Amino acid sequence: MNAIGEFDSELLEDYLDDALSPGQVEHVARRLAEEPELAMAMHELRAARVLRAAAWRSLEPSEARAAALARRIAEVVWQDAWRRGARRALWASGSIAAAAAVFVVGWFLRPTVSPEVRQLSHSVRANVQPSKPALLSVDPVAGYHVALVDRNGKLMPVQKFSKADDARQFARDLLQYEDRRREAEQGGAMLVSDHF
Amino acid sequence: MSKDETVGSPDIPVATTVELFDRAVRDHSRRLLAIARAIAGNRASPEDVVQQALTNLYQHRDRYDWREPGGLMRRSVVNEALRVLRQPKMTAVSDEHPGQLITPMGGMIDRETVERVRQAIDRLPEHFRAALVLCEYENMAYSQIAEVLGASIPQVKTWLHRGRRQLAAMLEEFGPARQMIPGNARADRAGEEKRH
Repeated sequence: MNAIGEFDSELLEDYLDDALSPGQVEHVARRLAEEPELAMAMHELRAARVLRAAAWRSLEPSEARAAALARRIAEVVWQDAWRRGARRALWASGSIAAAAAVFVVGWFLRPTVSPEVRQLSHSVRANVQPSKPALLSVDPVAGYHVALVDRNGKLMPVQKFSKADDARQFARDLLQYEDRRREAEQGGAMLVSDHF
Repeated sequence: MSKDETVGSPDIPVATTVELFDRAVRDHSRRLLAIARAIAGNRASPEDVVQQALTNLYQHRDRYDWREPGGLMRRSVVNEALRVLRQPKMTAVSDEHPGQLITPMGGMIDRETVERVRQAIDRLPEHFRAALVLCEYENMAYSQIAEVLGASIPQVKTWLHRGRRQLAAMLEEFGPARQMIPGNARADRAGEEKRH
């Protein structure tokens, strides 16, 4: 090894590493055939590689150890996946709980309809037609109210009027509009104005 | 772990990322452990190095193509081993002792010789070790090694050359490398006797 220079030593290592071009390989092969010192150096380099190869192989663990590691990694990965899933579930359940809390708070804070109005609404609903959306109710203390109910009978916002005539007119208009809308839905023509 | 994370092309059976990851870990863990041991020596548990490297990859699994994971895993393990070596506090870990190894030259290299070579490798600077193991154990080209180690090709060649020279110097006291291989030593002795 000492007999050859640095450059040749590097050249031989490159040759053994398959890092030379075909032309360089040919050149080295020719020199190896012609120069015994270079051939001896190459022999020594190959031997050193054999020793190192033995050292590399000795670093390889047993199959059982490698399999144990693979299991360990799989376990870590599954634990991680489980943790992520649990975090997602926790987040989802937290969201549901928050939504439920908002709903409950909203339910208790919703605008209340006075018992008189509700009672009148019920009575008018019973007297008129159950499917009518507009119901007239009269609250002598606070004015005149038109309580709106939808088709399912649920109470909707209450429109307040100071005059009974205005309240009646509003209720009439609504009922009229609703009748026409229903006719239009059933295929009939819809009047857009009463004034011709 | 969602099963809808799939990769694959029409001509390749579609497998989930997790399945491909599991398979890659099983297929490569032995060699990855050897690389981790070669670079980290007894300064860190190779299992810990590989596990950390692969779980890091798993965290970002959707970024990678898991059909050809060898290079990716190798790079990750090398980087993790180098990272571990940069940490200030490390406790030595016990190592397995190699048994006798059959070499390609037909000889049996005894445990003691392999241990000497390993100790010499262990005394090399970390980048020399990493370059050597990738070149000689993984048979990687200089350009690939440069990519894994984040260095230039001339830098890699320098590391390899210096590493080999330092190893030769460290093992010089035990005689030429070719005489440390039993088959070669016998052949050398026979040649000597013939000449005399």
